Amino acid sequence: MGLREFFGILPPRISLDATAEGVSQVPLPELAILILPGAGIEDIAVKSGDAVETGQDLARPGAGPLVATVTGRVTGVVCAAGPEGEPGAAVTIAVAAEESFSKDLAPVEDLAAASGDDLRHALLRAGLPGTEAFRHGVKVTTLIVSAVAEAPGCVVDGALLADGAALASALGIWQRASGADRVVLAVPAGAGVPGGLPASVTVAKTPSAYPEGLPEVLAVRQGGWLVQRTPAGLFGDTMVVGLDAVLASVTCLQEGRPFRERTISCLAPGERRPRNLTVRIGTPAARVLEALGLTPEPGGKLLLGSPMRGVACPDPTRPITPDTRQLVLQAPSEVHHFQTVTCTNCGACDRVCPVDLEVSALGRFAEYDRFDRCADLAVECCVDCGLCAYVCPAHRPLAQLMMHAKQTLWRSPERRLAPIDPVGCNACGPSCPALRLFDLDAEPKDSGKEKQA
Amino acid sequence: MKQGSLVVSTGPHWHGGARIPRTYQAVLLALVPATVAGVIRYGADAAGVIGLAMGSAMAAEAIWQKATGRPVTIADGSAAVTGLLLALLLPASIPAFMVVVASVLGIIIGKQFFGGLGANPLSPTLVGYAILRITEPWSGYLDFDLMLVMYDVGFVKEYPEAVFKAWGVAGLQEFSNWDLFLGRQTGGIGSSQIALLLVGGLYLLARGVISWRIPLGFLVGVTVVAWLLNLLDPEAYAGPVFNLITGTVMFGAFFLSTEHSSSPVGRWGMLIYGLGCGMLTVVFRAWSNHDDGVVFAILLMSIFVPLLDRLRKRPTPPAAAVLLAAAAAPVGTAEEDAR
Repeated sequence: MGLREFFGILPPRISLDATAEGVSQVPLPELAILILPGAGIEDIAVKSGDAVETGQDLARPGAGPLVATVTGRVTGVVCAAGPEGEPGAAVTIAVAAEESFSKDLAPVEDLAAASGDDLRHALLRAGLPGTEAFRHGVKVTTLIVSAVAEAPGCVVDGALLADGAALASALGIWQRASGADRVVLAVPAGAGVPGGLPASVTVAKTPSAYPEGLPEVLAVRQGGWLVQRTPAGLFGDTMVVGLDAVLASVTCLQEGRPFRERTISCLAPGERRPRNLTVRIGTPAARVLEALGLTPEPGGKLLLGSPMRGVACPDPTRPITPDTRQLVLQAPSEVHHFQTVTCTNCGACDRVCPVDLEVSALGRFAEYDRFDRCADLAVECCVDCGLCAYVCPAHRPLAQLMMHAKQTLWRSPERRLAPIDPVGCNACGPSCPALRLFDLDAEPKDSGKEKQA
Repeated sequence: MKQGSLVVSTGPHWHGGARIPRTYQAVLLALVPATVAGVIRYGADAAGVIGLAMGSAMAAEAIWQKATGRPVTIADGSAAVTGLLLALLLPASIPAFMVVVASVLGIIIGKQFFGGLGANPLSPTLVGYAILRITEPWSGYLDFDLMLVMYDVGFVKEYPEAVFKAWGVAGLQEFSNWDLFLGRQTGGIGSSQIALLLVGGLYLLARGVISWRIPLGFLVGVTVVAWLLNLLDPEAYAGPVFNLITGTVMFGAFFLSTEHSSSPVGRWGMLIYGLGCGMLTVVFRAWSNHDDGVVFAILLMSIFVPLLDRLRKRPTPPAAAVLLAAAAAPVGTAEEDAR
């Protein structure tokens, strides 16, 4: 996982060659937390005390779906931030030991004959990650299915590529559901390509190095320059989904089961070798850490997502969402502190940028609020990979400055694109009004009450 | 665990471990062979010049930063590198006051006036050297033939560039190319150690401290212009080999022109900057009053760095994608429509 550079001829990239020991199972939590991003409490159809079954849609029609991944009793419906800090609504469920499946989620009888609309609805309804675009009804031209690790420490099971026939049918389902003209299967450069893929599928060999596996970078490599991700989870008209979700979707649709479990890679403090875990979606991170025998230390960091651009959680009760691929715990000694020092113009950031931006200049313009110049230099094409800040010898917060420039531009009247900062207050952190802490040990009746951070 | 005691920040949450001091430590290490060879050849005089240049550069930086209330950054090694580079350009017998003047003015005028490390438009080393070079009563002290006359070095004690200026190509018969390449030539303390500087330069490339584009552009620029001039008139202009292995071309290509703050960062900018430095070097050697044009070629090209840095392929988002993104933007729209 080191940074490789050869005489400056090959740009430095963080190698993604991570291997993990076998996959272990995290036990079902007592309290599951399900979040519907971009929604309010009024969008939730259940109320405290209601019994829910696995697969039940907890959101009101048109707002969701928010698929129950566990069976149990609702203990609270509250406001809570989504995976990226956007406002959302959360349902907390006291999990019952006995699992029963909702009748609402009917199996798709004949996958080969089902229409695109039916498939789209079924995939969305099963709670599969990457299906937000279906909710918004946006036209998809290119569908990229990725078997490449997104970030260092993330492990993608190579066995997923073994069965060509299963792969072909799963890709066919997603192509029909998305209506994409072109399907690209991104595989690691060293991996074998399964036979029997339909002619409409292009196989793209992708270097096994960060950030080539990032959805944004895959979209750029396949479809030219990028405009920042839209709320629908698209990059321009390109949709990127993980291969694990695509393969899991076949079973989900056939059996009428929701996407309720996912495999995540966990990095413990001081370790560079991830441990793979299968976790029920909605499990609080604290329970995953307990299963690993880890305790967060005060002053450390807990990242939902990758070490390069994951979201640092203010408290360990944040749940695993369908999009979570990684969980990273850092000891206080591992927490990196960026510094506000002058750029030495060494050019390391410019050389490492996967989309060839003038990062050193952008960093300086953003630092002095010259966002007009940032726009001239196409700051919106930044893919947020974080490599610039990773390599900076002066430890300047370059990635953060670029993000700041982009968000400021998005909020400007001329360019209303997609703000990530929900309230626009720019005060991201523990005081974020959209972040909500959950009390895992409280009695059900108290669990809905907001706590002060 | 107490809630709220975890650190919250945006990514990246890792850092590669690069630090500014390591950059300059690498440069110092790359200069060790040439420095040691210079000290062996010119003895205590050379050691004195090197010590004085490095010491006064670091002292000037520390005193200036103390006086102006800025954090003292001599520990990062950049002032030490400035001093060492300057010393390696100078003859061993140069008077002490000139070393101090060049190094202090280089640091103060060339670097601190503009805001310190990273903000200087010109290399502080070259600013210090140029001040000596263009100050009429002092420039005689930079004449290698006069300055090194009392040393017993065991090779032709004539500065090749000066010989070329005085006698043209006909005068160069006395030099063997192999001797020149191995550094057996009259010149600065370290800048004449062609082979050892090449080794140090390759080390810097391997460490990723400098990009290959500037040195390559520099050497190609020298080769092309020298070859063209030599083709025009072989009697009047020396060939590319002589130009590459004499004077400070190798030192300039790997150590002087690659100074981070005064060189471009874009791919094309770096190549053109290097090419310009190399071409101007030969032009100055052929037609100017200076023996060795490297210093002024680099200073001149450094002035164009802000322009060269604009030579970049700008990524522009396709118009269609912008429209699409704008259409999909308001999160609430689709949901409200559905209701």
